[in-house]
Amino acid sequence: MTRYIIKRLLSIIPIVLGISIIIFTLLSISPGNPATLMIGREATDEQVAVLEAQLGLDQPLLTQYVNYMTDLLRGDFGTSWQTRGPVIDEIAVRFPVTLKLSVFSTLIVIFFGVTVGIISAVKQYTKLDYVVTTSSLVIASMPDFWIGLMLMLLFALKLRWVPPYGASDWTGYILPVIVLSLGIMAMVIRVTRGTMLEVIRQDYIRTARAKGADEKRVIFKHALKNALIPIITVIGNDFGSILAGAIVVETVFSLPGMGTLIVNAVKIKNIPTAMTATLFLAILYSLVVLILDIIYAYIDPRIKAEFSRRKAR
Amino acid sequence: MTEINREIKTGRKNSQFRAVAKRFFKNKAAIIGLIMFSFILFFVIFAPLITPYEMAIHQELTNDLQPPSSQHWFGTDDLGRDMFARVIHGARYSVTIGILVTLVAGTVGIILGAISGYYGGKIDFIIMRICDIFMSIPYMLFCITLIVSIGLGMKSMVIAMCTALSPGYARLVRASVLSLKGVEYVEASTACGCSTGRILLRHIIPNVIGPIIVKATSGMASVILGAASLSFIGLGIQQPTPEWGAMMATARDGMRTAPHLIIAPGIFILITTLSLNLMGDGLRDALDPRLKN
Repeated sequence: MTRYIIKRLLSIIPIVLGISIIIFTLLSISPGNPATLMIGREATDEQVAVLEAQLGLDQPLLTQYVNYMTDLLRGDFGTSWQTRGPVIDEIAVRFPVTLKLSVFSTLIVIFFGVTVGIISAVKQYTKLDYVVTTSSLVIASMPDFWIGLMLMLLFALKLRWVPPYGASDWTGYILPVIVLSLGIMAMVIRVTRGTMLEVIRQDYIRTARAKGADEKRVIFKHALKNALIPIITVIGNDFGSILAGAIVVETVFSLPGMGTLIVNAVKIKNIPTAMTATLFLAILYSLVVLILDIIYAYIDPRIKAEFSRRKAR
Repeated sequence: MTEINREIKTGRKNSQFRAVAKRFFKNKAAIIGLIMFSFILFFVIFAPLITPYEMAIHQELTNDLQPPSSQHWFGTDDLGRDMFARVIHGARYSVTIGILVTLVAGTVGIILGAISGYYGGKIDFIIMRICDIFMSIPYMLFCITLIVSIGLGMKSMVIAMCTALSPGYARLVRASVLSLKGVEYVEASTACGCSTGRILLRHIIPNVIGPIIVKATSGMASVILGAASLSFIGLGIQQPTPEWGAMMATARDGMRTAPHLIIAPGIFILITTLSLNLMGDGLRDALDPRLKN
């Protein structure tokens, strides 16, 4: 098992390298000179040249990239061209906001999404099932920022239960977390229901029922266990959607998170901040996918068996 | 799938198509989706006849932020432009982007996936690793970076979304091609001396197109949602073009006094994406009846 984990960990390296090359190239070729953007319009050519030399912008692109990456490996995450402070400080302030958003949303998605999906599958073709399937389809078809604006209109502006903007206290997180989880929950409900229905029709479920196991045991012990793999896959992929959705939701609710940090940095061509923050999220996402792969190996004896056979060889 | 293969082998391609169409039209939800999508398509095609484009950008500052009335069905925005005209002309942008991105991303994905799956070996390894890299950058982040690097606007947004979405199609096609590679009729066509292009185009791709069409239909819905989100955060289509996401971004500040400016475009997005999702589900059930218990 350890060997499998190490192998999977190593496989992240080329992906991270690839991501860093793509993002660095894209950000560097974008129009606009960061030095001019930093000083402002009245910048003289001389000032721009001095600043360019200071930031290392006069070097060839490849050298810039290599410098950035070696600094990164040494634990230097770069200096923001906007605040002139270390990028890691900015991330330290912004990341907790995004983390809170994603973790709470993921928990809500896992808890309600899977439960409602199972109930809907077990009670297939009842009124409850129709309500669940229809409403999850409708919610999945709504843009998340629109759901956000509508909820803000009702609960923040009309009823004044929660603040419309910012994250000064926990009430500011209520609406963003709901918005972020709703769309993804709709997807998880659909997948859970679908796989559960497929599993429930298998022979071993019929066997379990025939031997007199009670319905609860059949559903949770026999069916859910076998339906878990696709459900976990969807939840893992959805962590990526949650990170992406966080960008939009943070914009709607003006939350100071990683999403707004990246969008603002990208807009003013603050390459170190944009680059490090994007890499940070991409690595985080790859790690989540990796952890899921390891979880698969633990819950699915087939993967485990295949793996130990390979080791024996 | 075996059913499809058998029918194609006996040369009854039409009956296969007819069977799928019959199952599709029996599905009530799919029909509702089709009707809703036709409603949106009607606006896409006839928008200029219903109300000229000038109405959508014509400013009438003395007549701003009007609530819905008989003269302005959806009211007017902060610059006094007629919202009904803006919303129905917005349908043209969203639906065009949806179709364009899906077509391009789908075609690129089919080509890459087919090559990757059919040839295998080094080519497969390289294409799939590149796809892995693209797919491990969260979709929205990738689009934002790419758009900024090639300049804001509709063209960049379309390019960004196509690049971000084709790896997903490539993976799907590769998996289906791999599953067909060893099938007898492919072997038979190789034995007959068919060229690789012919085998791929005439024998393999027609047999894997089902799941691609299903993915493309609901994929179009997410393209439309993504385009609206990108325009909403100010990176996609820019003002004064009447695009749904961009319209809501401007209407956001005056949301308390003029909520209709946000509700109307939102409902149109909902109708469009919901119709596509309903049709996608219907197609999936029609192509693979086993799923529809």
